[in-house]
Amino acid sequence: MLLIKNGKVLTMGPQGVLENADVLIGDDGKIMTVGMNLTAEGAQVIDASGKVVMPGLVDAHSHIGGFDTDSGVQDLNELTRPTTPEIQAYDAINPLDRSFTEAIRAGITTSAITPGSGNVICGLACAVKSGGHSLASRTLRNPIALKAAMGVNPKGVYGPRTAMPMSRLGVADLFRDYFLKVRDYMKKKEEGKSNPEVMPKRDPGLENGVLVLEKKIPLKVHCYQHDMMSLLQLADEFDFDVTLDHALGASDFYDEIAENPHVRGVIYGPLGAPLFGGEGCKLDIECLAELDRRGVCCAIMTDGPCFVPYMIVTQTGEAVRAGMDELRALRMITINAARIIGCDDRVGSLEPGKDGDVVIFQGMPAVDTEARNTATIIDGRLVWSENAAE
Amino acid sequence: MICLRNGRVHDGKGGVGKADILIEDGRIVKIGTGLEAEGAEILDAEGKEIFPGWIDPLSDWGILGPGREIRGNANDNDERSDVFTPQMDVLYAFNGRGISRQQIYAFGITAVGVAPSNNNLFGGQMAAFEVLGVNPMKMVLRHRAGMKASVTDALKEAYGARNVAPMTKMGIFSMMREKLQAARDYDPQDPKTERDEKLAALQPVVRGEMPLFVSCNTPSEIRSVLRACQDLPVKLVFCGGFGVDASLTELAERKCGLIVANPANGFNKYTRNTDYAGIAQLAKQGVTVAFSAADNGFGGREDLLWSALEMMKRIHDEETVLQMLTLNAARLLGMDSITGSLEEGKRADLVIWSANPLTSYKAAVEKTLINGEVVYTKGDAMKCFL
Repeated sequence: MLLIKNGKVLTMGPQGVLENADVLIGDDGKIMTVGMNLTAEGAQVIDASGKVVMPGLVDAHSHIGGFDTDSGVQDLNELTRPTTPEIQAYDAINPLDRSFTEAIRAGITTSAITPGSGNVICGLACAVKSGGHSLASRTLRNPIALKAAMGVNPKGVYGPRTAMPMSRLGVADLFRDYFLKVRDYMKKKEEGKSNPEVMPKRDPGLENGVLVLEKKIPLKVHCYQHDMMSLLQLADEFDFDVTLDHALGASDFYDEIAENPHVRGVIYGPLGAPLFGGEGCKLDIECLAELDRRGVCCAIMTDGPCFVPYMIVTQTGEAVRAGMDELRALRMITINAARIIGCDDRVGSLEPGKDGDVVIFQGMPAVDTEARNTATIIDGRLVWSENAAE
Repeated sequence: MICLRNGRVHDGKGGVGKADILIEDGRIVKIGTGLEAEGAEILDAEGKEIFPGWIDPLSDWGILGPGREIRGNANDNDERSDVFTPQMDVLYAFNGRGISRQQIYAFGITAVGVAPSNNNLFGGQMAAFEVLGVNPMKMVLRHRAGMKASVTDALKEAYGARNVAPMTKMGIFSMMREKLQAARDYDPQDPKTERDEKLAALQPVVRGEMPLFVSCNTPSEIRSVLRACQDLPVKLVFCGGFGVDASLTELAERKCGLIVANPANGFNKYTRNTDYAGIAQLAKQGVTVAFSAADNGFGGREDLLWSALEMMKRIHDEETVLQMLTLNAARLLGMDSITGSLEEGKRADLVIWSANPLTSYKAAVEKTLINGEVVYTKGDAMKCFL
């Protein structure tokens, strides 16, 4: 058992913020109790007096473990054809990549790891913890979404090869073509139940599309600016759920995003780029406060390793600078992020029964610029602490 | 005339206190308490924090894309047709509308140094500019502020990969020594000497009249540059700062400058080696330390402050970090007599913040003044690029 004592506990759950409170995690790695004056005989005790205790951070869009930042070798863009729904980010992940160690230090305990955006239909994303044993035991859920991409990324890959898609015309066409095929496949499978002769051969790529059309997982889509509206049009046509990933320029479309029932959430970022033409001409982190006010579930990404892990907190600070309430902002890297990636039953808040993933900050993250993580606990196990490192 | 009343003034040189600032004809004419300001427009800054505008001494604002060209190389900071181009001048590549459109003043930046890319050994001459305007010639704060050089792997990728020298570090440093010595020996008065604009442009560097800004990714690259320059009075400013720690005392002995690059990009394998505490120690020993958002061309307007915040997390000293964001950057660009701190006689390049951005993310820019003019007020809509 692990008992974290006397911290200011931001549960990010129904218990809200508790001063001088304790978190007790059982031997099964699950949270037992969050409350005052807890005792547990034989438990390892961590004193968090004067510190902020909160759920381990959740990065809702990342590629760590699939890009080797030392060698430049990448395993997340299978750029041999623009529609690769059958591939899985899981197969690309090196669980020993140092990005995970850095994530642990920064306080990120769960990352949604997704294929890159070079293809229109890119493959399956999964949720992986930053620490633990094998990749299999660290994988919280696979798949969590089917990744897709609009706009310049697939155009930029295939256009120079004079192959489809060279333009947004081609991108949308490939989207529609894929989901029409999935629909046909589902229909044939249905028919095959009564007439085995017409049962189609199992197609792993189309099966993943079935998960999307049956709304078991959302389509996780790289989209900016007007591409978001194209995507919502397609989501309406085929009736699937989406997460809007990157979402720069969302401030032009508050009504459309807030009112569309297919939007499971917005995963914003990364910041820190110059404005550029095409799909990067509007940087509007202030949109998060407004989207949040309108009930849209919002998160912030590192797009790791585009940004190093601690940037998840820095960017949340920028949302606060742009007018967002700090606790609402911190939801974007905890419970909201967990909800958008479909893992809020396990992580994202400190509640009995949930995974014992906890971080202990000195200072208030996203408010105090010098706030820093001092200890990271995953599944009830202290995997890193500042003191041990020194 | 403008009078800023009762703000908490951080002068950029270590001083902090509540004061009024009187501004006339673009200059700070008086800083003090209870200033007479008849006829002046009064800006109430009670409860606000007033800082000198941040300065990014090594940026590519205004010369790097985006969408500048439909044809050819969109990056006007990058003339990699020739590895040795000291005669080139960023003045001719700088686009006033390009930098203005990025609205970096809305994030507290009031001046920038602009430099050629890391792909050439001697890439050309830098200049310092205002951040808002149209005509580059009117936006110049300091022409020929420095010479940009680079000894990183970028050269090997730009030249070695096409079987052109330099292909290795041996080639890079051999060429560096050769060019510096040729510039030292260049004598246009001698009738036997052929005119050489490249060597003429490099001559102020070897005479110590123009600082040499050298991009390095590792301490060993820095030491090799020091070795190549050991017999010459070159004023060195190292850019990147990756891997530099307190043991690199040569930087202090030679009174070098050090521009610490943006550490946020995880794809740059060198960024994670930045030792802020060690760099702060070197600063105490006489190294002029500043920050830059540039990381080979993909930094946003926020990155400069983010760089400074990484230093804050290690040394917890706001006014020292502020000086690195302002006066030190101005000093490296040779324009500390006109901007970079809040002093009587200097340009009124200053920013009113709602709180201290070095300590709190709740701090937002309320107003930015450049040369005494209010160019941004909180609530002004960000303009879309298109």
